[in-house]
Amino acid sequence: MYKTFYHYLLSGFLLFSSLAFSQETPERAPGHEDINKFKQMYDLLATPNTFRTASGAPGPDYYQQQADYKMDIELDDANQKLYGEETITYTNKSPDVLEFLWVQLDQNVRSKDSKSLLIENSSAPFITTPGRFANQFLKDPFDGGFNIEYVKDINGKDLQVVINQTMMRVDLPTPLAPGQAYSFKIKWWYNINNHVTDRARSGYEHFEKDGNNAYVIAQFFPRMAVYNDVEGWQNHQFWGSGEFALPFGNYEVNITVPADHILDGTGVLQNRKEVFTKEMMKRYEQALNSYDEPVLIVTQAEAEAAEKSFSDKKKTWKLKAENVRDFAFATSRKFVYDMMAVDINGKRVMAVSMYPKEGNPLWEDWSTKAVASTLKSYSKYTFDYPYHKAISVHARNQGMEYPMICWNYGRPDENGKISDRVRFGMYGVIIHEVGHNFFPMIVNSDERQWAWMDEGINTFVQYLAEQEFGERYPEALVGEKTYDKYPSRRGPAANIVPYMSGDQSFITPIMANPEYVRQLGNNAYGKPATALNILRETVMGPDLFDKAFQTYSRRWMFKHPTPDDFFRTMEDASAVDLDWFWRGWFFTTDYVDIRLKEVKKLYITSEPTAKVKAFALENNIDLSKQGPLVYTTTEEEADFNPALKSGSLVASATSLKAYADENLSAAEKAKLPQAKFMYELTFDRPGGLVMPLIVAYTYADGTTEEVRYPAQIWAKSNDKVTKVLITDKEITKITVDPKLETADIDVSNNTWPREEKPTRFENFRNQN
Amino acid sequence: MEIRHDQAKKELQISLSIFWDDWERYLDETHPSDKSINYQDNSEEATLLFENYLKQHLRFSVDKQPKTFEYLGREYDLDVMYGYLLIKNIETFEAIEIKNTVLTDFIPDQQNIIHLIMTNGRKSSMTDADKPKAVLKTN
Repeated sequence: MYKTFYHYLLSGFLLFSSLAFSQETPERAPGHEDINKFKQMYDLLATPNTFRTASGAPGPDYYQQQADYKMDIELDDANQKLYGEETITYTNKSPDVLEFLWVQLDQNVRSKDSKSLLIENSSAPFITTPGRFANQFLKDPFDGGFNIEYVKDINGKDLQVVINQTMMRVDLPTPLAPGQAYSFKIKWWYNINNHVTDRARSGYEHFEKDGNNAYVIAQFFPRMAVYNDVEGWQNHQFWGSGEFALPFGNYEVNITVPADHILDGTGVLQNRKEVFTKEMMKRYEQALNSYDEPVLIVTQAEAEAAEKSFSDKKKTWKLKAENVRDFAFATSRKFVYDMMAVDINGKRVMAVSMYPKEGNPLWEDWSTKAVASTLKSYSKYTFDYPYHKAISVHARNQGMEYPMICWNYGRPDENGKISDRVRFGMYGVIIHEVGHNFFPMIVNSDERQWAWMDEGINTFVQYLAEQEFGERYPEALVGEKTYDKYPSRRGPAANIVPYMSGDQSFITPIMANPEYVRQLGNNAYGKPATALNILRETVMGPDLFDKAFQTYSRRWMFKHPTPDDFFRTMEDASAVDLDWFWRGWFFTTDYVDIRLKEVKKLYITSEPTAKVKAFALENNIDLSKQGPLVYTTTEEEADFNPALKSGSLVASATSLKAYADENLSAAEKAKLPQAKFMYELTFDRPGGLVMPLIVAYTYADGTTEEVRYPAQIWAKSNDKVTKVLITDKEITKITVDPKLETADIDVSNNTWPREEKPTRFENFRNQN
Repeated sequence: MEIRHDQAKKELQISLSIFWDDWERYLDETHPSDKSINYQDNSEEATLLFENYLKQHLRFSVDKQPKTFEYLGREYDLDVMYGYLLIKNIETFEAIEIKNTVLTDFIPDQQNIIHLIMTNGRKSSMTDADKPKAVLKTN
């Protein structure tokens, strides 16, 4: 009665609604564009051309500009001022005629009237410290912008320039034709900022106790902007977050500092015998052949003695660098200085560290070894490190990279205590910043436009290098706790889940400009690094990935790649279609959530089930005239015959058995008794990203089997996948992504039967 | 910050995470001459410092009634410090208001994301220096 009534209602409703349909809404759904997740990226990538090819390599007309510098720099330590005179020779290798040149004046971000102060939001805190309040609202802003004394041509004639914030346009008297070079001179000085109180990348740290400063000086001289086939002049202003891109060139730099300072920087030291003592020279010779342990060139005791000397004499350090995209140096009388040789495929590279005594005991133990290990790991995954040295300088609070030299944090407390956080923070930042020599110092992407191209790619290789550092130096993993592998912060898929599951209004796609992305750390470092790690371990496999990644690095070594060049090369060298992966992970804020929606345990029979009979009746099918058939059923069906639960699947369906007897080979028949259980699994995708479907099956006897279905399992039907399994053992548990390798944001829907996991809060409460 | 409404226990279970780098900046600024800038230990002093900071920088009101929270404690791994708070006697409610100035008082561009997790779904919002208050409605 109920059924009839229901049936009546249902058909009445259908009738009503179909009438309504024909009157009010169109009969067909509107058409749509190709919305398949595997759609190729023709809509997103630039059209290939003779500068950049469709395979992702530099094309026959690829060019890049060159900027060479000769500079004389002088540091006034007593007043923290830096003076410079430079001659820039700019060579136009483009096919274009240039009317003017653009020069970057990054220090102007710290000028008193900097517009980057104007775009900063400020609000009145309801509680703050007096010092912070005074700094924020009462003090005159520090004036650290460039004072440009002159810009002249090579004959001393003034040039017409226009300064627009952090960019300076030099108007050329006659346009610069392709193939021509132009030289001009700039004289400048600026007040050096305290990078600790400013949280800046360049500047000095002041040590109250001994009155000394340690200088880490970078982005400190007027530098040529990049001109290329993609953007013309890259004259984005420097607002503070986007880093930079610069053309390659050769540098000859003479730096004059107090005579008791120890200095090192980008390039080969030209006058080592003049600036090193005899004892330092002797130790340096030793270091050249010490491949296992660093040799101290300046000991801590010597640095402590120098701290008191405050020499008023001067010394000039002469450095020469070829094919670098920038120049930086560090100088102080506080520096302890050590070096060790590293064998990079038969070539000797020096791993170097400079640190004030405040960095010890951590720095003398691990800085140089971390540098050496990083050079080895990165060389393996990319290309042999081409420079002759890599220096790690200890600067408080910051990590920042320049060619051959970088600043790194990680300081024990005043009692010499080293927490695991400080220890692994220091290893991690050194590996990261030394790694930046490869990306972007050599693979010279445009950081001001694409932060992920250097930060994300570098953070990915950092993960591999950290793991290898832990394997090379297990004793480095012994701190407050002992770790059996390096505890990497970024790289493992599960670590990115909190970010990717966050509110969509606070997430930006990776392919976005660093000055406006939300959560830059996750956007430009964490997510792309994790994506590449997943690509390597789960999507492509290390062999295919590593070869393709190496191809990208080598194709674009000492060149300027764009994102397209990376995406294309990774496919070009691996024959893996990754358009779905780039589109999802890099161009959207979609996340992974793959759900095990339903598990049906099936049985087969030759007897028509009630469901089948009803279907036949409704459709006027005479089952007796259909020949032998096989029907599937489940325990939930009302007429289920419990006898089906014993024996093999085939034995319970006589029609199937008869067919098998006649048509299958002896070997196939021998396997039939093992086909005992049958399951139909349905997976769907509440998340936007398609990913390989990784499923672990646990059987009644406790054994586990993992099956990895490629991402293309979603190609035909983006939303739902159904799989039938026939097994000899009963399945007791099914888990999607059992090793958490896809960054699935909700694993509570990944298991059958469903499992409730305690929250972090509950765990904490139960333990305390 | 994650606020989970446990209907059976009639409580709001709150967990929040802070990067050590950021916390160190605070310690560094407020205790510049202190011998230890790490405070990564369970000494009473270190714990109290954190508890007091949270009490200064977090305000909750449920359906416009201010609610005090109980500080349960903290734990940490290499990079992140987790704090746990509890608000009791919350059966059903329509909206919760959070005033959150954690870190935004000394990191101007800090953004704090808040998730409210209920049996029937989740809601999210964000606070920052300009907009320290967020209201999350249960429906």
